[in-house]
Amino acid sequence: MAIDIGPPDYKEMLHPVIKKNYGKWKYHEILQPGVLKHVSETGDEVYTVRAGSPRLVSVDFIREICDIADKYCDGYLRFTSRHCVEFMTPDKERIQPLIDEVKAHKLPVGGTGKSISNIVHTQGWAHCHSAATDASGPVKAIMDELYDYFVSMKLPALFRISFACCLNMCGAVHCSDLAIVGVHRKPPKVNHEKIAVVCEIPTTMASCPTGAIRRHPDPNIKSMVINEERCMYCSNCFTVCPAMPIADAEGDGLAIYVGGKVSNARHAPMFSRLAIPYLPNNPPRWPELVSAVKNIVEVYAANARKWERMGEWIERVGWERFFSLTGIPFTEQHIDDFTHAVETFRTSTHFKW
Amino acid sequence: MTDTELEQKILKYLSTVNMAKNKSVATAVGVEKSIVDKAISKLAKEDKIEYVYLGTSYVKLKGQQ
Amino acid sequence: MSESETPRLDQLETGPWPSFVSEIKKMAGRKPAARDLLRQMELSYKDRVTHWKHGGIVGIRSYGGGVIGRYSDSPEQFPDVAAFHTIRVNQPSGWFYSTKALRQICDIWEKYGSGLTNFHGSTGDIILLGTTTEKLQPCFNELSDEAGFDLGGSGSALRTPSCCLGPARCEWSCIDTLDLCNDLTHSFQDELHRPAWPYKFKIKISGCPNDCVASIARSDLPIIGTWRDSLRIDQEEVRKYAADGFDIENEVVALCPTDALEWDEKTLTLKLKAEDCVRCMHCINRMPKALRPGLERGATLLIGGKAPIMKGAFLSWVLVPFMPMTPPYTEFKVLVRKIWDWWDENGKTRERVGEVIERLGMARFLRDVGLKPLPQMVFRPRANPYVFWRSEQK
Repeated sequence: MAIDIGPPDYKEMLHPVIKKNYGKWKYHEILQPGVLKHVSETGDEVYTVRAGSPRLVSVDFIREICDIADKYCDGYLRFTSRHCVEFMTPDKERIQPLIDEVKAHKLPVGGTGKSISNIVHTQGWAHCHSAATDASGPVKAIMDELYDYFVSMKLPALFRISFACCLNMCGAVHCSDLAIVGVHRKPPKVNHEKIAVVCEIPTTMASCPTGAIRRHPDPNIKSMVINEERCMYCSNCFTVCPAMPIADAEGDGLAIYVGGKVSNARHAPMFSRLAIPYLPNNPPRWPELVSAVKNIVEVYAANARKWERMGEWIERVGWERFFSLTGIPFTEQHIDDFTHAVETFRTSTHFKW
Repeated sequence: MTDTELEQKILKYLSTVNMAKNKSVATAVGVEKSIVDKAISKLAKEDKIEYVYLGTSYVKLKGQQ
Repeated sequence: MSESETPRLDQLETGPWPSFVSEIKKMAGRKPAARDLLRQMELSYKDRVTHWKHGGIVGIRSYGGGVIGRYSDSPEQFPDVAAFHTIRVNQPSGWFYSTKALRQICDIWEKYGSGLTNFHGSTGDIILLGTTTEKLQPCFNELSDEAGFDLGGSGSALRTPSCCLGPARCEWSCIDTLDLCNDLTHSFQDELHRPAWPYKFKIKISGCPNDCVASIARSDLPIIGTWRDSLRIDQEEVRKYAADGFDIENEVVALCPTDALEWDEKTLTLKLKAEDCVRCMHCINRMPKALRPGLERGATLLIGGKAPIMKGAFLSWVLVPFMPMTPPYTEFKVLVRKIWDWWDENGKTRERVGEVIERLGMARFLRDVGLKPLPQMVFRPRANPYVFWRSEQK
């Protein structure tokens, strides 16, 4: 058994045309939604067809896309950072048959330019112990509704949606045009019998960002108690101590944050900020969440200027305008009260009605 | 202290605790952490210790309950 | 016809977007674990809570990570997912694959696991979703010895580095992201596979400031390709854009964040005040045939990015405004080791490097790792008068 061999050499995974023109690409064009053309200094061209994927896929799915790649792309393919599949060929004549074949496999072609690309998301109820909601299910329900924005390029700018099923935010969704986060709203329940066996008490107390956990007042009980007034339900204690479960069917749900970006183009990268503090978990299709997301996307699409990302549009028109245009109520939950809160308070008389 | 002596000392310490972070092992055996890290890696490759994850990573004696 | 075991999940098989439920069902006929996964998820859809418990186990000999242990909280009801562990497999740079390599992974995973995967997980690994404790080792052995793949990182270790597709298919990449990612991953196998630090450490590599892998938000140490000289303008191609009706004034010049561009309608020339350009990529993005990054290339290194747990989220802060990035990347490797040592010495359990810097101060961090303070590191200097002087400075 070989250990520490590291990942296989990427050079073995590259199509010959990619290998030959490595570092020599000159420019690209988007020929139609989901189809790219890259031109090299050598005069070579490569065409890319980008397809959506559910991310949670079977080995049969992988074999199917391998079949497509064997037939049209000489046995090579790649994935994007947003879970899309990319098929590449130097042969222009193969583009249309390739698109037809991808569509015949019921995979959408799109996700380029001014579109909504695939939703970066987490495991949810499919595989996570700390999930406050499912991930694959709400993502499927949202992408069904926003499908048209994936297969077209009609938005003001590109639009990135990310989904994390709890505050741990595997995948760090906190800088997306629209981020959806699974949230708890009730403090953990402490299992005093189990705690001494499975948890380290100092580590667990130290895990609380607000210092809300202290030793049990009765020295004979080797456990901890929670000051519920100070708990903001981050579930960090549960991460280090399984005897403090926090999941709760009634309390759990979703929050929406908007206006973040990571690209340096134009405005500097910025965080997403709270738009809707709570929406209920309503499986299997989360209708409240889906319509809230759709509303925000449509208000943005109708009001932003060309090339303006969500956050750039909001910063230009003002957050007060964002709330009035979307009809989303502004509540006490929107006002920050954590560590760097004062940086968000308005220190000018510049505002709108 | 020879490498073997250090490894023995680490194993002896781990037999007294359920699990520990590398940093507390280094403190307990009184040796610089980077040297202890290397010794722990070697012990892992020799299958004498194993790792546990509980919000952060710990090492423990292999098979110790 | 018998009634479905999963009436709720079945509703996620309708609609135009490809369905993960259909994917799980593809395996459910052949794999009892996939069927029990569906049934357990259906229960979660009914009672709206997760039914997974903490893992804890790692399970591959000589590795301290790469496996996420997972157990069902209702093993009597769902015996085939009583243990349902995940294996993280380190992806090749840029997520490029030959179908031969992918088919090998599929065959191994069908033999040893549920047949379900994520392409890919958030950190970039291939995720093999769900197998039992005793199948972990044989599955790994075959992945390693037959297919040539290795585990990714988990726990308080270096996490699997990832990168954008870079020079493989992008004209903007200022560094060889794929080679750098591959080189670092191979250089730091012990840091990746045997967790010894206070908490996780992530490195992500983007070829240009568009940052397609979101490195600035998603990694402790983002490496972002950039250039130091002036961007290149091909005026001939600029004129072709204008002739095609492209609105250079409004779509490019007006959106330049530092007002560094000017469009001369008379001479049909795009003028750049190079000293005002902050290399944001907007104009290059809009006119890829006419504008290109400069030729003196390297990377900006940043530090401290992370998600909210535990003291709030950070975007990474500029650490080295420009570092040339050519193999064997010695300058970078020396610096990153200094950063790790500093963090390891000063960090508390589960404290990310950005949080330690916030607690102890950026000035001290820079001093300890041997970097000079530069105005490029800050948006603006401090406004408060609470200034420290060390004895040798007085």
